[in-house]
Amino acid sequence: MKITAGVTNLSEVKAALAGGADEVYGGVLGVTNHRPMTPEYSFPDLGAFAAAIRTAHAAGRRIHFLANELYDDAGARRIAAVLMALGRWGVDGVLVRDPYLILLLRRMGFDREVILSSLAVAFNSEAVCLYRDLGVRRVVLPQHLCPAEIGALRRRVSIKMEAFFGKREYCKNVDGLCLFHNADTYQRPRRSYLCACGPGRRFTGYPCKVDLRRLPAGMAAHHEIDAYFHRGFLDDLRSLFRVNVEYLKLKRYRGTWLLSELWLAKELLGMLRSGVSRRRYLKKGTEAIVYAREIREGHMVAPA
Amino acid sequence: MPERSEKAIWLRRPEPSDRRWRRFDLVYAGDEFCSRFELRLKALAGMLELAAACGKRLVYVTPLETDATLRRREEILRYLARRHRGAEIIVNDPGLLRLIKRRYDAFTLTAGRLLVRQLAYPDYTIASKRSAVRFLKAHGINRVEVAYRPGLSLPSGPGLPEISLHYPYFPISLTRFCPFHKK
Repeated sequence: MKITAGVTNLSEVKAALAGGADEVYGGVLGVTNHRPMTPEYSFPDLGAFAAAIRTAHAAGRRIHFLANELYDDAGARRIAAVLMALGRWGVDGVLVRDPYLILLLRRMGFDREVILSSLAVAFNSEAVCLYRDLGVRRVVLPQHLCPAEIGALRRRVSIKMEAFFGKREYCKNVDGLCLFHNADTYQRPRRSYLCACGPGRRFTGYPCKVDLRRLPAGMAAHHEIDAYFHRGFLDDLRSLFRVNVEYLKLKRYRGTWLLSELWLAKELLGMLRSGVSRRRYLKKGTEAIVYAREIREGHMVAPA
Repeated sequence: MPERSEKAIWLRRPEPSDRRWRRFDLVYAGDEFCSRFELRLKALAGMLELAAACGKRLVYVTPLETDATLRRREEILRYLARRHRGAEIIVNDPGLLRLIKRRYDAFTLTAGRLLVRQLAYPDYTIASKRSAVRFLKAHGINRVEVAYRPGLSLPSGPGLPEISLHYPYFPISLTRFCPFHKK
């Protein structure tokens, strides 16, 4: 299982590659993708992305371009021309969701990997096949498929698959169909909402971020709640590993977040590759999650 | 506005005594958003008979599907293809669309709001997005559903798909999380 990490500038590309990412992906201001068109989420221009391509290739890694929005017909033609140019500059793949754009790329002889974004909401093997027929060669599975459903999909369709880094990436709303889709940018919590997951637990932010997960009865202490969710996350990752999902996707983290998540992903995959028992994996994995939090908060550094 | 619009109502469990049947041209049955809240074959068959007796058209609505729900859906599709050729189905999942195109030629298909949202943004631009219209026509769809919003103006004319407007609400978000689901 390879790790693919989101990046927004050249220094993040270098950090991600040094941190162990096998691939990186990012978008550019002016080529609409599904996140806000601000410097915090995208490369400033195509020149900066070209430099990122050179950096990734110099390190022997791959880089993908993000154009995962729906466009009107004229917009799709314009984006297709940009993607063709990026193909000539050496980009290794593009993440898209618009069926017309996928079709255009095939007609124009685009010879790089066309990757279906999770925003296309391909929840079943027939939907994946529909996009495969259009020219997609790899699919990012929606966050809302559980590992058992991913396993069923894996058995039915022969295509490269990419899954999000477990529930750490999770939003309960289906991203491609949600009008709250810029929820990640909400910087200032406006209100706090009482959370259903335990006494005294509050989550701040917008209603779409209210955490409504249910816990087994009697679970109240914070460390119990954390351990419960860690186990779920670790088990999900183990299931993805066992059904041979080829790529693990980390969203666009910044700074110490990027480093800590990369380190955690590498650590957990290392455990799974070594074939440790589930019990030991859960124990060591929980410790790794705690350590990753320390890295994120700047108390620790990621071991080389 | 077209010269005459058909009016539809969404009923979960229409009963023969339900007077609302009389005031509408179409009756929608099924669920657009939740694959767990689905009509059993027996209930759907009863509703189809009732609709025929009342001289109304019944439209079967389908949600987003996983492989498991798709298998259950096929049972209903086989029944409809056998007993109710030409039945109208609202499709919201691209996988179901492909399945119907591959295996059944017996239905009148409509693109539901969720499928439209996967092809055009904002969804009401679907009728003027020619590539999306071509895609839908290639899959046998000639009618699309969009959600009402104030000030909405929709194109109409030859070559454009028919439009159904949902009024007064429109879906903001969708989730598979369900606090009521029991395993």
